[in-house]
Amino acid sequence: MPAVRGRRLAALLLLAPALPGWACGGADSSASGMRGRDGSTAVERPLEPVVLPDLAQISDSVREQIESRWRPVDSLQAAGRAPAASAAETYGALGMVLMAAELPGAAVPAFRNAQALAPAEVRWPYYLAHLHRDAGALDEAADRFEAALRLQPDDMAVLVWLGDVRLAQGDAEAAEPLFARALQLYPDSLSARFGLARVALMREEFEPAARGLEEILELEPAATAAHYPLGQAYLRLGEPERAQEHLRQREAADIRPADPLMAALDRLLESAQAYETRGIEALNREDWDGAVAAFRRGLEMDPDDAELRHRLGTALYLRGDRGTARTELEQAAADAPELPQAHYSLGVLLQEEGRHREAAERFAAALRARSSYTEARLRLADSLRRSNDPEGALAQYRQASLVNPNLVEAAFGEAMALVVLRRWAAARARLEQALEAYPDDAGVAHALARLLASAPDGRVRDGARALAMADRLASRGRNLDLGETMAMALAEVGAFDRAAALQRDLIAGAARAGLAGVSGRLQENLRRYERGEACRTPWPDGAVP
Amino acid sequence: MVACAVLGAGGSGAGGQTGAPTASTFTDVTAQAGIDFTHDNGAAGDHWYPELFGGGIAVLDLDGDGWPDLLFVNGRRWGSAGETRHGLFRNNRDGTFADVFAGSGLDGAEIYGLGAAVADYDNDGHDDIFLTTVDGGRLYRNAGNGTFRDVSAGSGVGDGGFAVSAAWLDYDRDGLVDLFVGNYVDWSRETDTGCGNPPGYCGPDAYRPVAPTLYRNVGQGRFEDVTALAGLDDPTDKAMGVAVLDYDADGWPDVFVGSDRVPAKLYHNDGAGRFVDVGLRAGVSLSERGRARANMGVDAADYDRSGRPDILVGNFLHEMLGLYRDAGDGFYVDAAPRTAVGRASFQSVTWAVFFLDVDLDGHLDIFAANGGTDESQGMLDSRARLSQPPLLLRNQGDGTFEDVSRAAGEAFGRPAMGRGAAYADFDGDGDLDLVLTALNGPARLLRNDGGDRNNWLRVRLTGAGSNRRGIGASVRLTSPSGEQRRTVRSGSSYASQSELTLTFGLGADPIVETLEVTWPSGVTQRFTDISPNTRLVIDEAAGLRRSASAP
Repeated sequence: MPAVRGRRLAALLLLAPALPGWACGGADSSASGMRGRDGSTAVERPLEPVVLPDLAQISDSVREQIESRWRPVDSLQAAGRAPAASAAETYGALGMVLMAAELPGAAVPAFRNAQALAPAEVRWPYYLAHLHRDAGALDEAADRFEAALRLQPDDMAVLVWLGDVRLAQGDAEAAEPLFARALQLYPDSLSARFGLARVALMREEFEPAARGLEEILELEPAATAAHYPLGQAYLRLGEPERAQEHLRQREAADIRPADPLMAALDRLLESAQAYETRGIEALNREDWDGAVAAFRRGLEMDPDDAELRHRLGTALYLRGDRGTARTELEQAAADAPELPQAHYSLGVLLQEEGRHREAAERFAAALRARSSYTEARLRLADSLRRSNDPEGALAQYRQASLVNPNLVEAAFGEAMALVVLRRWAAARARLEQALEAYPDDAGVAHALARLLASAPDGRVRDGARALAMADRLASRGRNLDLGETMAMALAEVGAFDRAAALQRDLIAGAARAGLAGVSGRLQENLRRYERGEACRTPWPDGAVP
Repeated sequence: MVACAVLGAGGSGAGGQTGAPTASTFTDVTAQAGIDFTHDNGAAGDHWYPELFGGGIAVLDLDGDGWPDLLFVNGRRWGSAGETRHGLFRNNRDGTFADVFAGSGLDGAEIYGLGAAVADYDNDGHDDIFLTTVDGGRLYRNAGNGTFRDVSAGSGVGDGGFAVSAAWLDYDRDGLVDLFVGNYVDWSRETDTGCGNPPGYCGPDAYRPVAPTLYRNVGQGRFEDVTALAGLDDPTDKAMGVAVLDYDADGWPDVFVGSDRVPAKLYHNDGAGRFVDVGLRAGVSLSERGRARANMGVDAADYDRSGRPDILVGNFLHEMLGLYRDAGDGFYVDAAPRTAVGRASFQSVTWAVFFLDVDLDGHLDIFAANGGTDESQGMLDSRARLSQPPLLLRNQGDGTFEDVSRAAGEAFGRPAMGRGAAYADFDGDGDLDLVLTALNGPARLLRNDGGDRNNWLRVRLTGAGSNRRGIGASVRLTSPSGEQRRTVRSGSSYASQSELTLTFGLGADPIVETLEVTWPSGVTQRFTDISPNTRLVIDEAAGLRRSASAP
């Protein structure tokens, strides 16, 4: 959770006692060393005192790491003479472990000393720059990133972060060449493109901004951070519909550069937290074995960490080890009943096994622990719907929509609960409403087409519209379900021959695909079409999506 | 249109000759002014959510003498018997105040109060009060002798929920002020189970959003809830601040609602009784990066003298203030990240926030009251639980601001768990003083020293066809250095309301060439050649009634 880390670092940095030299002197001043006869670097001014912070709240393993890196620094300071250049690593190592442990107030003088002793080393000004940036000291952050850039002019992370700071300072002119250089060196860089688009937005150059943001989304549709600025750009370009499309997809996300130095910090600590980080990284690269090993190691260090145990359960599940996963998740839920995600994950396991009543109990427990847990509410609603409690499901879907009106899953689920309740008109209305909000959602469009084609209530049916919708959906891809809907719509408009022909094709296709289970249903509808009757069962009982 | 020349109507004063920046400093005169009020959030270890929200301030005219009096809103011990000790202080017109709470009618009530909004809802010439509370609010009618009566039950007001901020506005321009209550979240002690283990305060995500409440004043002391009728019944707000503005200059008051961690809303008034949220389209709902911020206190005023109101929003630590500059065509651009406004506020948790012209140079400055929350809620962010100094950002007249907090005096920079704040010229010297509250701490009155070295003009409105206090009236002033616009507005800030009298800074301008008042009724009045350092009272029916002796 880099964002959380940043916030904590900044907070602690602000709380740190005032240290000599902390606020004065830039990156340049500390880089002016003179080499002595023995090869050591004699700095022009004394190094800053580094004080070990209060470690009372730190876990044993991390405290040991900090103390082991503190002892050589303490010896250097006790010696009272200018240290050799090699001492930079000693100071820097302490700074890194302090920064990783979120003790930035103490990390700052350690890094400053490291930079003074080894002005050619990029890590020290780079870490200092991040500490300053996190604390909102943008001028100091820019100074340090500039120093890092002088040492590594082609470093992607330095270029992008410095550009980001320049933008935060309101200096688009200074930011642009940094992002441009990053993009030139790394043409696939999303963060560099994102920076350039933000420069254009700041200059109110909306066309190039929109172009750049569109390119980002083309390269990486999951780069959801691009949607909001793109929506703003389209608004300013007088294209409200396109704007709306992107504003709707906005997410509180970011597009950051690959950052090996910051990643090194996350891997530094021998702590449950550090192993958790490593486990999460392994999960992200789909290395399930690596994730399980990391989480197990973390639990050895802190067996009471229920969140970590929940992660282990998740990793085990992803590895396919459901039995052990359930044991770990049950243990996590027992250790920390207030931990909603443990209940949630257990619910998912049970849901997958078709044990919907038990699953519903778990999801309800997750919601008792965190009432705003939307995924749990949606899952609860799904399980209720599938365990013959459509009214209960309806209430949960509506509650989810109330909290977040933009949830298409809630709208869809609500409509399907209404289908189960045979409230066809209400189901149609809900799907219409959802389609208006999410015109590109194929699931909603298909469900509506199915309902229009075959709802028992004649006031709900609209065969021509169903056919048109199914045609449009078919242009995006065909499958058995959609074929059935198409046949239903054809029958509804009286094209029984075409409906029957299509149905025969579907039956043949299902047989080829080994889908024997659906054959009966398909055959039944085929007989209807051959008799010149339309279908009046949108979904058989138990098959409502 | 009424026009008259009023040159020489007021004293020439000792106005500045250069219009250069003046160094306003603030002196804490709380004790010598006789203000003694300490907020009580009632915390006793149960971690009820409202305990984090503090209490606001309302500047009002208790006795109709034109001098600003003060109301401090208080919480109370949960479930205990006994009255809630709000603070009510009458201005003695000599720099001191008298405690008039006892027997005021505000005493004796057992309510957990949060904020206040003031207007003369029955147009009888006396300021009335709406208190926001955890349970729907209370409406107090001013009997005219400085005492109040709780008329909530008979008025149709007060059946809402947990609300912090509210504002009076005449949304249908019928001459009666209506009430917009920005409800916060769906909360009750019965359903609040706390968060964490051991339980501590939850954050806003733990509670369901709600809709605001709009009460239409139908006259005879009665209100009707028109929330649904007005299209405002969409429960997606977690309102912390409410500001009224006419962002599209169509003459109908719109409402900006700052909402906690959900998109802020800009409710456009269509003039036919309906409101539609255009916040996302206008670019004021989210941060520049598309994130919903804390959106606590809010204000709206024309800081860049473009003729259109801009919007100011207080936010959480590392979110910086939002300074949404009107870019024309209904679009706003957040100028904070590109100015000292963002840099200066990056490390603050801002509650009350507003525009005011501290140094009377004709450019609206920014004040922000800051303060942390609580040790458990701020556990990931320990800075967020600390006392913090307020911010004063001086408008440099070119669209940029300068952080002058440190130069504003030792008293100004004292850290506190800041919450509510308001401004008023309580000592009658022409410049604007500050009143601040703190969570579980003492209220403070900060006197502005030196602000009046520049010229100024104060304008108090009295409606006739429009509502009595002129809420919603727009005043356009032209002087040699240009044009300024102000609107008489209730609400803004956080849980608080500043004085309704308008203050224009004139810098070194020796004359006000024109002063044009556009009333909510549509009546327009125009006055010319007004001497600076003058207090005007403008009556919608009678025109310029007098040069007031009150501030």
